[in-house]
Amino acid sequence: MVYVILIGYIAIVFLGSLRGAKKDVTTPEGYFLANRNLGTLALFFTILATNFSAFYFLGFAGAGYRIGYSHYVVMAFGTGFACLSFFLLGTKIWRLGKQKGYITPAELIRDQTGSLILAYLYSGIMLLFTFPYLALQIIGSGYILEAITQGQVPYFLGATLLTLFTIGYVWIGGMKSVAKTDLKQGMLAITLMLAAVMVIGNSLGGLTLANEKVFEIQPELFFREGMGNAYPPQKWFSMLIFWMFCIPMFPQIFMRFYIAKNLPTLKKSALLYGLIPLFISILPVIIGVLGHLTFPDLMSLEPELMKKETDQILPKMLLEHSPEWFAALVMTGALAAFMSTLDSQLLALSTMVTRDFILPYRKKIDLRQQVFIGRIWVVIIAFIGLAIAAQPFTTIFDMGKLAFSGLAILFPVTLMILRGGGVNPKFGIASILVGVLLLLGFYYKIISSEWLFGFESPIIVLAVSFLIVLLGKLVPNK
Amino acid sequence: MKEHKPSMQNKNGFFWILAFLILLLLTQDYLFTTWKNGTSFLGFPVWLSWFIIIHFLFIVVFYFFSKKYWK
Repeated sequence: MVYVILIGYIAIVFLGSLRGAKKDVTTPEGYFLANRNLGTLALFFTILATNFSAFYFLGFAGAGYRIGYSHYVVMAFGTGFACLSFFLLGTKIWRLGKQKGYITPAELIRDQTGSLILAYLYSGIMLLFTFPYLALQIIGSGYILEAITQGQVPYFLGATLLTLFTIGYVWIGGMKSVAKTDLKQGMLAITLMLAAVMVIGNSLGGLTLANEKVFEIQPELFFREGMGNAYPPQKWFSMLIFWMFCIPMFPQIFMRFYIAKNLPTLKKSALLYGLIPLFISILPVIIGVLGHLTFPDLMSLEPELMKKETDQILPKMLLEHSPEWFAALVMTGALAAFMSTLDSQLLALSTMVTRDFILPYRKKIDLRQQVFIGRIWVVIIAFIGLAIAAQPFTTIFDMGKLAFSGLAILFPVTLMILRGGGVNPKFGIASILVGVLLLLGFYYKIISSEWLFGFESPIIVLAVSFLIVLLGKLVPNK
Repeated sequence: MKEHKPSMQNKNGFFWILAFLILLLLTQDYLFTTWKNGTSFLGFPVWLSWFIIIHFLFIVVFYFFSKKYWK
């Protein structure tokens, strides 16, 4: 039954994405940006689908188990608040993209600043810090396949198979395929998550009773600070504002600002993006919290095992509290979400490598060759992600946080270019380099955490990066 | 009249920034309250409804903001 549902889903998605996908994929704008012609619903779901991924399904559920309901507020409000940056950055990106024909983020940076080095650095940082987030979709796929086949498909084999499948439909259809599957997969994932909460809650005696039982055994999950004081004041502030700086810097989100049909479409998508996390962010967190009733001892495991086990609380709870076919269906929906993020990342990164690093040196290649090179890089990037997935280095949530922190470093430069009257390229370069060094310094504990003053490291790093670009305004730009 | 227009626009811009900052400030609940421990509607924590209300308010404010400036 599990294999029937899995194979059936794969067949529907794959065949659906092929239909009509061959048209308009012989030009870069057709292949990479679906001819800049996406309507409100398709644009909204393709943006949402790239966000809601293994980070959402497994990461939120795992964090729900480890921290409690305060994690819901961090993600719901934090993500919703990010729609402000859709206005701040997205509108300008759309307008400039339409006027000048930009396809990648670095093309905008290069053209607006005149600095090749800044553009290369910008693109390079985007590539580097997207890899952990790309890898965690593959990791999530491996966990899910292992769980729903009860070990018959081991972790890495599952990860590899789903990666190869995703390469397949991105290869053929490009952005049009990606957007078509994102819409379907987004709606499927949300519907199935809601059903999962209802079924699991019902199995535990109803949501109210289940929550009250958890409160009796682990009241800290209901504290606003979270279990183990996970969110003291400075961290709370940090986590609520952090997302507005990093979400528009995901390359697949940045490029989606280019593909809206018009500004009203982007506006409506931004409003939906602000509202929807309120409803859907709580669903996996509920399952994580309720996980304490069925799997009460995961926090007492040794740290590496605890991270892996808590990250799999969602499939564990589904297998324990619902019929096998239902668990398989929900986890297939989760796979849909992972693949929709993975496909967007593959497409965005391959576009960037092709146009930012290869095209400037091979000007004579025609449009069809560009698309072909993009396709080759889809394969290469996917395998790099798979190599990272072979040995996950921390929890899904923490891998995501590292990726987002690196991407957020690009926000000050981007804001200054789009809304601040431009940036002095030397100071733009400095803000990114210093930002990366500080971030890695804090991550590897080379810089003492005393310098964080209780805040999350990306907030301190952002403050320094902003200071540097602002200092650049005082220096005449020759 | 033209001389007054930029300062009117600045005042309006300041109003919106203030509105968003106030909403952000309202999420920093530790500044003005400590919540009672316990469960409420559907067994969720007592404080959850506060943040849901703030989120809705934010969307309403963003809607009117985007009506004015998103052109």
